[in-house]
Amino acid sequence: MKELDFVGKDVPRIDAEIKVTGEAVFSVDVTLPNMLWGRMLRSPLPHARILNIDTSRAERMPGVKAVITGKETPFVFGVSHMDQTPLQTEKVRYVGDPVAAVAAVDVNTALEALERIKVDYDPLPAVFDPEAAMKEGAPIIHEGIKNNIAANPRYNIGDVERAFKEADHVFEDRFETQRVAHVCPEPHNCTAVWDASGKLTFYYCSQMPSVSRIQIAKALGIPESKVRVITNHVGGGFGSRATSKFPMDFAAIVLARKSGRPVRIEYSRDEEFIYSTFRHKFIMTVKTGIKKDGTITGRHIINICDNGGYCDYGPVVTNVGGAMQGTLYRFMNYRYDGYTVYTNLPYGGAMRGIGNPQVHYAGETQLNMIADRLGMDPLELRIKNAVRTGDETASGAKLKSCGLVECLEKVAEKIGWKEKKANPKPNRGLGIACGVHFTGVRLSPGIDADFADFLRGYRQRLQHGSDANRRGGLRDRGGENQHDLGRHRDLPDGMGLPRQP
Amino acid sequence: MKREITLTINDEDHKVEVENRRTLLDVLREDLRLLGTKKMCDMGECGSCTVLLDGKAVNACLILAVDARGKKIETIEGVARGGELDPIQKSFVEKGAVQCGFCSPGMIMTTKAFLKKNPHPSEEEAKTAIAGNLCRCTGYVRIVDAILSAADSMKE
Repeated sequence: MKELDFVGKDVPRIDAEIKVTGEAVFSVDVTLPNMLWGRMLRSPLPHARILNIDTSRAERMPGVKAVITGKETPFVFGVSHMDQTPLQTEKVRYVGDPVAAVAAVDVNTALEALERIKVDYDPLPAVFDPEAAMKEGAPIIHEGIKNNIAANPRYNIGDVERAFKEADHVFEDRFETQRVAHVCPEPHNCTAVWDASGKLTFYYCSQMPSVSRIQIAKALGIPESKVRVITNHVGGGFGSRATSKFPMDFAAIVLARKSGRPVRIEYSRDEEFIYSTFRHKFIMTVKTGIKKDGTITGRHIINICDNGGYCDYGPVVTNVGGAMQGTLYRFMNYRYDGYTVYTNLPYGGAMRGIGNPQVHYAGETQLNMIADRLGMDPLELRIKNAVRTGDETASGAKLKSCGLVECLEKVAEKIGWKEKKANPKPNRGLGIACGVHFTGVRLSPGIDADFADFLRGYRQRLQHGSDANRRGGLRDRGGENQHDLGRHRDLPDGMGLPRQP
Repeated sequence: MKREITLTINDEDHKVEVENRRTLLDVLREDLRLLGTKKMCDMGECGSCTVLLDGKAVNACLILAVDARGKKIETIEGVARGGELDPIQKSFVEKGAVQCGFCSPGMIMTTKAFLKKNPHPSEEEAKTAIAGNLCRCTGYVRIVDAILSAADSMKE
């Protein structure tokens, strides 16, 4: 094989020098002349009708340059469901749902102005548990959404009931995960500025500036050519930057238009923990049929996803977890019932693995429990059932190459699985689990609906035969896995081209 | 109430008008535009705003600007001199200790104070030294490597 310039080699990051000197400009470092500081007023109630919002006292405050409510942000947006508006006008759906925003000469003035906005609420019954939210008679969070079920992604391959009849044992177990925050080092932030020609420049710490641009232009009803999204260095993403934090975005954009000045909004660390679209909580019931010899006959997973007050990536997250569970082992009877359920809690979004880790946790933990119950070796059980090259999996993936069995065998050898298992030591655990994730494949209709936009704007051209100029729709945020920074491990390699930022 | 103070930062005097309640971090970032010092938590938990005050590593978010008067303040902007990276910075680059880079300035400032006090640290000591600096990307292994490697290179 041809020797490549970068692949397989240990080369330093292309942006490391400017990061160790503090020169690297992150979105949160962008400061424009005449810039104002924006902050959002958030609901103190989980579910309530808004009766009235009085902003007059805030508007009169010295140093306050603009105050807006939902009347000035009539944009509907969402990732899979268009179920959200930036600032609420009729009702709030979680503690923290924004209702108004101000721009002032400094942060303290903005915060003081928020205290002078008077909102009258009529509290509504709230529901915080997704299982309770699905029951008849539960408070309805979005009008017209029956039982609060926003999405119901399903897979039904083969005949899972027959598989359970053919099995020697059928086990059913329940697993719950919890919400997880991304905790990005750089808090979410954006800065918006309009010029006199009506062009918006928007600085945002996005994983996908091109997607932000498309969505902002669409919501504002202006051509994409009138929107410029600039993403500087990004202080961590972990999925939370896969969408713009829209209420903040639109609040900054509208405040900037109203005040005629650049407006920055950034999350405090508290806001970062609560409102930056955490990993969803899943409640999973896993039912698995298995023969005496360890052959898995089929599996049925019911997954209830605690979506929070809005969808964001919730339906996609619920779907991905289901798709990937039908990919690891050879059983061809597989059923997955996912429920993306609204609750009166802050909403979740994309986070590392986009729903896949939660379902893997349940599936793999149950496999270990089954091995334990039947006195089987969890490693042998996995090797017996692992997918192999040439297989077509239950969720429809055609495996042109697959080294799962070899991987398991090698891992067992390297970690001394047999010896350690034969000689257990007190306070020392020994376990094994497998996982699978996709890289840019089409999983099912729906999953990649907005992935298609990821690469929009991606282009590369050769200049003078010696240099490559590439533009990506994706942004590196530390993992070096993206196209436009880091090691440039893909296209220029093997072409004798220099690395470039 | 605002008052005029002089802050000595990277050997230069800066006159600023500040309110008593404002932190050194906010004055560095907002008034003096020294943006290399990062604000991650703003509550003394993460170490990303670490600067040196008379050689001692401190969280700039926990120090009032007025209390930094008359002290020698060193920030990340003063570490590389004359276009040449400091051995610690070089080591962070070479060892792959930088990913998103948001914690890097704070890590480097902590390391700077630490290696001055303890030029030949053990791995355990290096780990303890950065216990107050949070990194979300690297898992710390390469950062500890970089600190030990910087100590080695400064020995020569």
